[in-house]
Amino acid sequence: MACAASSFLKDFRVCASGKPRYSLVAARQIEFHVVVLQEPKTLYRGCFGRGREALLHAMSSNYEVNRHPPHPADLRATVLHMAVSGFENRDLLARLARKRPDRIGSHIARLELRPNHGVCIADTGSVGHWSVWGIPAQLTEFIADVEDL
Amino acid sequence: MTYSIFDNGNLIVSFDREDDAYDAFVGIAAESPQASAGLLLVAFDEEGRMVDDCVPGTRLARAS
Repeated sequence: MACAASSFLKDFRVCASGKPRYSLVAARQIEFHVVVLQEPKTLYRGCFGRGREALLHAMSSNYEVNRHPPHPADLRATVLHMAVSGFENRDLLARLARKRPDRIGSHIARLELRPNHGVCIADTGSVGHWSVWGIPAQLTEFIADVEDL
Repeated sequence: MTYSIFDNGNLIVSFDREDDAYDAFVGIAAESPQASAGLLLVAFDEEGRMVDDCVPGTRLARAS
């Protein structure tokens, strides 16, 4: 507990100071700039098939798949626990999925996100990775293509 | 470099230091070895390209 409390205090200081998302004080990303999507955006997401259920699952956050109890990792940042990951670079995702199809997926869905549907996004993690917030059924309607790997 | 931990294909936490990322990854796997099956640690360079191999959570669970 002492360790967790100490970590929280360090993170709080960084948040309060408004420093960049990474700092020498807290090495993990603790600031997220979420925006309502204003322009069309193409992202790629791994999935496990072309069926409706598979695509709904792929468009669902870890929170939405309703795992109980929550995985300890999911408690690191609730904002990410409630988001869906997407990559700008299709080839990068394909390489990752080919290495770990059991984790990332056997297929790649191309998402053509459009504004005016309440979709929110944030630049998170590595360059070209985005976190997406939207209604899963709505997000599946943005899927323009699903390809086998 | 960015070190990202994914669960179920979704980013759950990322770090800019390898040791912090690995410590967190090991800690998460130790907390819940069974649930670690869906975890993946991936390193990316400054241009977002995947670096080297990635580490699945089960490898840590087996090692612990």
